[in-house]
Amino acid sequence: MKGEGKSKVFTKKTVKRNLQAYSFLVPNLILFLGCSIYPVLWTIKYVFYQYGGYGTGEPRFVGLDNLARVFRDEVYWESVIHTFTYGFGKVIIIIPLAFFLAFLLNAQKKGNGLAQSIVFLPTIMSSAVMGLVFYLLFNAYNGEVNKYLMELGIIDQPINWLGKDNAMKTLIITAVWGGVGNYMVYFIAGIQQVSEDAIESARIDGANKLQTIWYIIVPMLGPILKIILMLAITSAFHDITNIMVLTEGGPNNATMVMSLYGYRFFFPISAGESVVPQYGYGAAVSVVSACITGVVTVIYLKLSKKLDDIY
Amino acid sequence: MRTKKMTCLVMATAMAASMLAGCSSSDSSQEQTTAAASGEQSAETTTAAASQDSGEKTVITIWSKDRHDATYVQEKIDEYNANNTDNIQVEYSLYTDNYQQAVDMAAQNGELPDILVYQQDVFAKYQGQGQWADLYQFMDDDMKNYFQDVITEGYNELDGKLYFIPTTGTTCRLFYNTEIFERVGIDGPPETMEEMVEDAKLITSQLSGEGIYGFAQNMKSASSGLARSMCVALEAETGDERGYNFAEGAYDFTKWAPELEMWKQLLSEECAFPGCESLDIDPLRTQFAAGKIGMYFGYTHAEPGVYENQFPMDSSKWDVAPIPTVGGERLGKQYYEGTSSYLLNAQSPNLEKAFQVYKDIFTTEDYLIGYYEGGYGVSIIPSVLEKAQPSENFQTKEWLQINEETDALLPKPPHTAFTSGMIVEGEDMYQTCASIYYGDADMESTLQDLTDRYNKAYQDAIANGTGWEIKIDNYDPMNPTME
Amino acid sequence: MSSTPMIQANKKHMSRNQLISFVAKWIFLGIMIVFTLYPVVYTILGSFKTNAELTQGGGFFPEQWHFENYYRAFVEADFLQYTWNSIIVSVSVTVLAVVTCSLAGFILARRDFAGKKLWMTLYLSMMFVSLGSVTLYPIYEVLRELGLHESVVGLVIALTGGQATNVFLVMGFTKALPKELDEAGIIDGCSLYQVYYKIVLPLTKPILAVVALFSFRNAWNDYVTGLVMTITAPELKTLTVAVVQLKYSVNAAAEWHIMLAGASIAIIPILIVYAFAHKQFIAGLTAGAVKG
Repeated sequence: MKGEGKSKVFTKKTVKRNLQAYSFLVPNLILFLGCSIYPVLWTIKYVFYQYGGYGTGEPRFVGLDNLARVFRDEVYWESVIHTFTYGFGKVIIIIPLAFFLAFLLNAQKKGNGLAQSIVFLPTIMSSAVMGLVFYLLFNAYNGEVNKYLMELGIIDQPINWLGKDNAMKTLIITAVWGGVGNYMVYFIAGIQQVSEDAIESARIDGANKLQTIWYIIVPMLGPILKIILMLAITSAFHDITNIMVLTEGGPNNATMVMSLYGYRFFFPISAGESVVPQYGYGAAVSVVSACITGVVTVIYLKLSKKLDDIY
Repeated sequence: MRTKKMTCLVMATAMAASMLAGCSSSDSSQEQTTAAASGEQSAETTTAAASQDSGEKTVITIWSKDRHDATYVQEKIDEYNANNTDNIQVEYSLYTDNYQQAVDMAAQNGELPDILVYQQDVFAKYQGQGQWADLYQFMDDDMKNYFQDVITEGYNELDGKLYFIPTTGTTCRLFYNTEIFERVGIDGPPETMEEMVEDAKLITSQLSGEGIYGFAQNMKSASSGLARSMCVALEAETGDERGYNFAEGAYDFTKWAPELEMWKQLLSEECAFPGCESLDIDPLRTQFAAGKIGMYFGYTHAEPGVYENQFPMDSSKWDVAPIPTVGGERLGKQYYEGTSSYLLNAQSPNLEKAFQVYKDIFTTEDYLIGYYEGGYGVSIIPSVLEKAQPSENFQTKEWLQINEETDALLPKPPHTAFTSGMIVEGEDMYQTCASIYYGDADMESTLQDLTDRYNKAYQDAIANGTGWEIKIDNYDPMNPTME
Repeated sequence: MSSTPMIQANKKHMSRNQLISFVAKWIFLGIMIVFTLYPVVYTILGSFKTNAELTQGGGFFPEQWHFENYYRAFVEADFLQYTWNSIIVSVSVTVLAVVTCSLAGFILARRDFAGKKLWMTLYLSMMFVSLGSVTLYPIYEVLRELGLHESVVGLVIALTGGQATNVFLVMGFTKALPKELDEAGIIDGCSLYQVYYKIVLPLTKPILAVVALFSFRNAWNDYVTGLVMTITAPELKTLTVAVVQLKYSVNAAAEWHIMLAGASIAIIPILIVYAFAHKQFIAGLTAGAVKG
């Protein structure tokens, strides 16, 4: 261990130590470089090229044209708005619901464990397969959902769940279905960290249940709530599979989100899709989208810090 | 000691990995994997190995995108595999979803099959690179004579080379439920769009209580829905092909406004089957077969087979009519397309054998007659039309046939002639229409903007050298010429 | 908060208010449970129905249990092949992820070496930069260069991916283990490999189980990667891809029962895994969230 104090980089021992260390790291490093780093560099490079794939000639350098096009592409910016609608719609329903469920189910009591497992169940299922099932359930002409609503007398005309006015709402409902268990578990973990003493002393002071939640549990959950919210927002921005299978971004782009919009310049979303592959432009869209997600995250972090200061 | 164990672990992992490589499912892909791994073109390796070993069969691969005739083709191929004496094994694969993507990737990897179903974009994209074989070099005079009527210069014959032979044709028509028409008291199919809207309204207003609606279209994908309906009507109505005027050499979508006005009504609640926005074609067909839909637009090659085999519907309950236009205007012909064409991969090491397979399976009169009689496509080969006894549908429904009065082969507008060379910013024509009939985009300005965007993309393509000028002097849309 | 001791003392005779809140709680939970379970139950029960029952309305339970739907899915729709693919692929992804993350997490937690800072920064940044599914295109290109694009190996590599998050999970967990253990090992004459294999690996089992569980789930449920990677190699399709593609297949519109049988084949295995390991799933998620 003599070499360590003075950093002689090329002594035999340090070389050996480094080689030894890399023998551990390399298996993962290969995957990491190949599947994470290289694709990102590739994508950034192609932001500056126009390329239609094999058989369409060499990639052509176009400078900032692709980026300029992103900024005047109205459909893209609509998809950004849809992403926000979807993301916030999902978060606004899922977070209070998950919190409420966590509040009801966190105690170690009979039945609670089973209920937790059931509510958590959708998170282990494939959102693609379930997207297919939801298509069968929600379609307007013979879906189960309309059938039940009509049998119960709630509606007398079938609701066009996947039509242009409702598709986003339907999508959010299915996203809540798939995600609420996840956030419930986060909240349970958070609530269990809030000390029983604090809750009990509040009770002794005569606080009722709602007061306990609002004045004791919510503030003490603060830090974890911040993490949960951030996870919820960023993950909602990345959702693609469920949308791809259930609505394919339609009708008339009503559910087209950023991630899917970039994807469709690389691969067709569905059979019969007519977009010409444009790898350069798709790369530009994806990079701008990643930046938007980044900016939202940063703004969120700044805001939540400010909130901390106020409290 | 421990290091040894560690090495063992690494070895075991490596072995597991290589075993996985080996068991990549079925036999054919296994060959491919090893061939690819050794860095050679798989097709070459497989066949080289096959021909060296006289006991092994030559494998000829065929790719298709067509589901409607898959069973028939498979049957014929099985027959061929069982009976051929040339020691040839034909393998047939279906790429229903991502045919074009699969071809692109395979072309890039040098792994194209020996024979593949013709698809316009696939043909156009690789034709310039000499990817497709000239069929003339193998055809004898008998064969040339037999197919002379379906060879058109500028379409399948380019510079004296023949690239594919269509044996059936398809075009778009209005399909309607005669029973529903009778119930609400409509005499015959609509001849103008105005009538069509009226009829659809009548059916929906009278029968929607029973879940029966006047009109439906598979609008989930705007391009798929409009390409078989409105765009075809517009060819007849304006004499332009997908907005492109060959005589002027420019796009003009502003002529689409009257038709789009009608479509806005057709797709409104007053007329349309609920959920059209999210409907695919197959669910639509099930609903039509179940008698829930008054009218829709479809392809002549596909629908008869569907209602015979897939979703049975009594032939007397439905009929076919020409696509109505606004005011009954007909300035041009509508397109028909040759189908059941196959391309031969010129780079196939077994090109000659591939041609033999193609000839023995897909061009025999027996095959062609069976194809037509089975309801998989409308034959365009005179001698087949003469001899075949097609199903009742084709005998009673004259508009299932290609009609020379209304249908013609049309030249390709720039955006299909050089698809990837012409990059249109923003939404394509189909999606833009969707934003008009489903969204609240302003008709006039949106169509003008669409026109500008297509013309700009076209001019840019010419300037960049990724496209070329397409203009046909004295182009007569009633008698279209290919060049 | 009925778990507080004060209430528990009164538990024997619930007051009216408590009864109301108890009933209200379970009514709400009942609704949530129906909401959650209905699509799953519909899928599984539907897979035994006839097509007519599904499309033209029928009871909640099948009139008759049509097991032949599964026979048709497995044999005619080739699901036997796809199931096998899914099993091979998911298990391989799990093994690859666990082995590589365990090794990398250990060394990053325990050793300083040249370039460590750089790698740490890159790993960390990749946890936040996400370009989404478009990166599948360059990954496919790389695999094609290596000749792996039409093999199970390629699919496994693409599905395993960079694993940055999991490496951090394992690293964090390892860091929390007392360093004295390693040092004791080294004093006893263990090499670095022995320290890893003999001392650290057994202790990191809980977090490796988490990595394994979630890698398996992700690989089994993946759709987009499998879709893209098998475009030219349909025989490698995984269950999820095959099920969703049924939607576009020849008879899909008329054969909901086969579609649901396919969907059930895709979800039942993971349901079984869940039935045995739901506690680990839930606990694992928490571990991931708190650390990550």
